[in-house]
Amino acid sequence: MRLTLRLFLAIWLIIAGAAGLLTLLNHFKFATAYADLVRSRFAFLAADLEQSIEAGLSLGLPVDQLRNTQAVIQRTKERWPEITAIRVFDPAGNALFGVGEGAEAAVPPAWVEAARRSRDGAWTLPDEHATTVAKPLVNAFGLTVGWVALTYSNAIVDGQVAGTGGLLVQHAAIGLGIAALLCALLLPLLLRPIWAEMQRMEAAIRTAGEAPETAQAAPVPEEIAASYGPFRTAVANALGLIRTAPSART
Amino acid sequence: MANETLFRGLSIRIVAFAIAVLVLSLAGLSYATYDVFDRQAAAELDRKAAAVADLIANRVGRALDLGVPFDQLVGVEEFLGDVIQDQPEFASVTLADAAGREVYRKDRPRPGGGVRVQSWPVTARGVAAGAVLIGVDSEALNERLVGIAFDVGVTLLVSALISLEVLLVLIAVSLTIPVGTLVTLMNKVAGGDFSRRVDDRAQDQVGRLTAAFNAAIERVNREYRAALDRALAAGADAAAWGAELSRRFVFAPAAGAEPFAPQSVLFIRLPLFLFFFGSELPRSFLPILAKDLHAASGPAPAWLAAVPGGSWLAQAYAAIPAEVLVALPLSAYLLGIALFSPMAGRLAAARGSRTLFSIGVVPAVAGYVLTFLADSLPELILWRTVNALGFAFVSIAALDHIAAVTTPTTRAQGMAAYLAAYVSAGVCGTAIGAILADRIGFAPVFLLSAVFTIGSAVLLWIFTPATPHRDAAPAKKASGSMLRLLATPRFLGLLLCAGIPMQVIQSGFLFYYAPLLLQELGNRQAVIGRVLMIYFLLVIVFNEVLARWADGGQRHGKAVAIGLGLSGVAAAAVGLWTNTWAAAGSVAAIGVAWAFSFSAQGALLLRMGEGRLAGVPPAVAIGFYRLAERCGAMVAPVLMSLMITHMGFADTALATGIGIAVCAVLFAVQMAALPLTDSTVPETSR
Repeated sequence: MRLTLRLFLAIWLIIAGAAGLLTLLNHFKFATAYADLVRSRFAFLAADLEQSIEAGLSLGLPVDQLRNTQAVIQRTKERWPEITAIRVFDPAGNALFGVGEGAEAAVPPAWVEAARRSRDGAWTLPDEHATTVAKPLVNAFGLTVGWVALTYSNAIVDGQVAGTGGLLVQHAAIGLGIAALLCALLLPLLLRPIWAEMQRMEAAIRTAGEAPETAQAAPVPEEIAASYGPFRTAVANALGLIRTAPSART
Repeated sequence: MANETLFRGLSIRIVAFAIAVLVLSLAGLSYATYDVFDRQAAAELDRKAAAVADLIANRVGRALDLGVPFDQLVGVEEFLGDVIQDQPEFASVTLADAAGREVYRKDRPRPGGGVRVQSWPVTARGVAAGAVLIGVDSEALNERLVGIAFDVGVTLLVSALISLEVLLVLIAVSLTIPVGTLVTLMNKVAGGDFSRRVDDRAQDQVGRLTAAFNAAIERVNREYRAALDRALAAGADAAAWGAELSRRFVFAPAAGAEPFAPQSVLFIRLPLFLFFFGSELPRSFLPILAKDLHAASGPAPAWLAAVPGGSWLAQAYAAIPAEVLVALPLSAYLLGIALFSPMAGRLAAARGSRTLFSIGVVPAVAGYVLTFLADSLPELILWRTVNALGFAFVSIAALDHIAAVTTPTTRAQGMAAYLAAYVSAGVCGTAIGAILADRIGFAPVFLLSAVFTIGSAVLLWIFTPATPHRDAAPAKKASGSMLRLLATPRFLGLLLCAGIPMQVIQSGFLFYYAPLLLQELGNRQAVIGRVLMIYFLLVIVFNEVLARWADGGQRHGKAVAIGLGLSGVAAAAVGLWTNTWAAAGSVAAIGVAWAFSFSAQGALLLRMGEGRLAGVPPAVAIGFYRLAERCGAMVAPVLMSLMITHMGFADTALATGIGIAVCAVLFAVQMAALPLTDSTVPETSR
C-alpha cells in the first residue's frame, strides 16, 4: 500500500475514533443532562402540589381528609398532559388519592422503599417506561404524613435523546467527510516534495555505475548525499576492475 | 538501529497536519454538538419556564380575584426568591402590572452572558392584569454540560498522543527505516561489500528506490560473475585478477545478494502501545471495582466452598480483613508479574520475542474477558493474576526485542521508546477508561481492553519482523549476588530509602489510595480518571527534561532526593487538606517527583556499577533492584488499605508523606556520607 494511502487511512481512522468516542460521550452526557432538566420541571410541579396539599395540612387535618386534594391533582394532570399519573400515599404505602394510569392500583413497594431511604423526603425513581418524582407532605408539626408522586413517561426524554443522537451522528459523519476531503487534498501536497526527492534518489542510484557525463546531473538529496559519493565511486571502481578481466584483454 | 533521524521534518509536518485536522474536526463537531444541545435544551427550558410562570400567574390571579391590589401582595418577593433559588436555569423572575411596570423582581447574581426573557399573562376576573416575566439564563446549559468540555479536552489530548504514536511509527516503518537501510547498505558498498540487498517489497516510490539500489547491486554482481566465467575460460591471469578483486570487494554468491532486513525498536512500539493502552484502561477504577465486588459478594462467595479444598479456602478468605482483600487484585497482579517474568525471560530466549508476545496476548485477553464476567472479589483477584501472566510475557517480549535490535550504545534509546509507549498509554488509557466506565460501567471496559489487546497482536504480525532466536542462558544461582548486594550499604540505602518508597508512592498511594479517596470525596469516575491522567502527563512532560538536568551535572543523587521529598510533601498535603484539589495537586506533584527520580535511580545504579557493587555485574544488580522494587509495589496497596482502615484517609496520607520525607532525608544523608564509587572523588566532580 502506498505511504500516502497508509497515512490517509491512519489519520482518518484516528479522527474517526476520536469523533466516534466524542459523539458517544456527548450523547450520554446530553441524555443525562436532558433527563435531569425534564425531571426538574416535573419536580417543580410536584413541589407546587406539595405546597397546595400542605396548605390544607397546616389546618390540622389528616391527609386523607383533605377533600380538595383529588381536585387539585386532577387539575394539574389536565393542565400538563405529559403527566401520566399523580398519586398521594401515606407512609404505610396506602393509596389516598390518585389520577391517571394505575390510580386504583396498590402503591408499588419500590416507592415506599424509596421514600423510606430518602434523606430529605424527596425522591426520584426511574423505571423502564416512566419516571416518578415525589415530594414529602409534612404537617404543621414537622411530621411526614405522606407523599405526592408524579409520574411522567420516559418517552418525553427518550424521543428527544434519540433524535439528538441521530443529529450527532449526522454531524460526526459530515465532520469525518470534511476531514477525509482535507486529508485527500492536502496529504499529497505535503508528500509531493518527498516523492520528488525519492525520484532524484532513484535516478542517482540508477546511474551510479555510468560514465560521469551520462550520470545523474541533478543535485543528490541530502538524505543520501554523504553516502552517495563513496557509493558511486565504489560501484564505478568495481565495474571498472571487473571490466579489466583477462578475457577482455585477450 | 536504522538511522531514525531521516525525514524528521516530514514527520513533524505530517504529525502537525494530522493534529490540525483532528483539532479542526473535533472543534467543529463540538460546536455543532453544542448547537444541537442548545436548541434541544432551550425548548425544554421554555417548557419549564412556562410551567413556573403558569403557576405564579395562577397564584397571583387568585389573589387579585379576591381583590388584593397588585402592589400589596404579601409574600410575593419571598415566593419569587424561592423560585429563583430552586431553579438554577432562571436569571430573573419579574411580576409586572397591567401597565408593564415591574412591581416585584428577583434576580440571580451571575457573571454575565445572555438572558432570554419570556412573558406570560396574569389574568384576574377574566381580564389581563399583568405579566410574569422569566429570564432564562443562556449560560445555564453550560453548567449542566460542563463535563463535555473536559471530555473534549481529554479526547483531543488522547487522540493527539495516539496520532503521534501511530504516525511516527508509520512514517518510520514506511520511509525512514527503508531509506536508512539503503544508506547503511550504500556505506557497505562504499567499503566494497556488494553482497547485500535491501529487503523491501513496497509498491510505492520507496520500493522503486530500493529496487534501483538492488538493481545496481545485481548489475555489479552479474557483471562480476560473467567476467569471472570469461576469465576462468581464458586461463592465464584469472587467479591474480580474481585475488585482486576479492581483496577489494565482497560479491554476492551465485544465488544472489543476501536480503538485509532492518531491525528497529519502532517495529514493536505500536503493538506495545496498544497492549499497554488496553492494560491501563481499568487503572483508575480497579480499587473501586474491588470494593464494590467485595460488598456484593460478601465475606466469601458460595462457589469458593464448592471447589476442591474450597472449604479451607473459604475459611481462609473469610479470615482476611476486608480492607486487605480489596487491595489484593492490585497486589496479586504485581506479584504475578514478578513471578512470571523469569519464566517469560527464558521463553523469550527460546522462542523469540514475537512468539512470546503472541503467547502473552492469550492469557491477557482471557483475563480481561473473565474479569468482565466476574461477580465476586476472588474471581477478580484470580483473573487479574491471569492478566499478570499476559503482561509479564508481553513486557518481557518487548524488552527482549529491544535487547535484540539495539547495541549497547543505543540500548538507552530503546528503553526510552519502551517507557514512552508505557507512559503515553498511561495517559490515554487511564483517562479514556475512566470516562467510559463513568458512562457504560466498569465491566464493559475490560472487554474493550481485550479488544485492544487482540489489536496489539494483529499489529505485531503486521509491523514486527521476527527476531533471531537466541540460546537460553543457563540460570545462574543468584542468591550469593543478592546477599553481596544487600551487604553493600550504598545499594541497600538506595533500595530502602528511594526504590521501595517510590513504589509505595506509585502503586500504593497513586494507584490505590488516590482513586478510593477521590471516590470518597464524591467525585465521578471520569474525574478520577482525569486526575490520575495528570500523573502520566507530567511524567511525559518532565521526564526527559529532568533526566537531562540530572545527567548534565551528575545530579542523580539530588534528583532522587528531590523526587522523594516532593512525593513526601505531596502525600502529606493531602493529609492536611483532604479535598479534590489537594488530591489533584498531589498527583501532579508525584508525576514531577517520579520524573525526577525514575531515570536518576537507574543512573545511580549504573554509576555504582562502575565501583562498589560487590563484584556483581550491573545487569544483575539492576535486575535484583527492580525485583525488590516490585516487592515494595506488591505490599504497598495492602499497607495502604490497612492504614486507611485504622487511621482514615487524612492520617494515612499524612503518615505516608512523613514516612517518605524521612526516607528523603535519610537518602540525602547517605548520599553525603557514602561515596558513590570512589571515596576520594566527590560526586560533583565526576
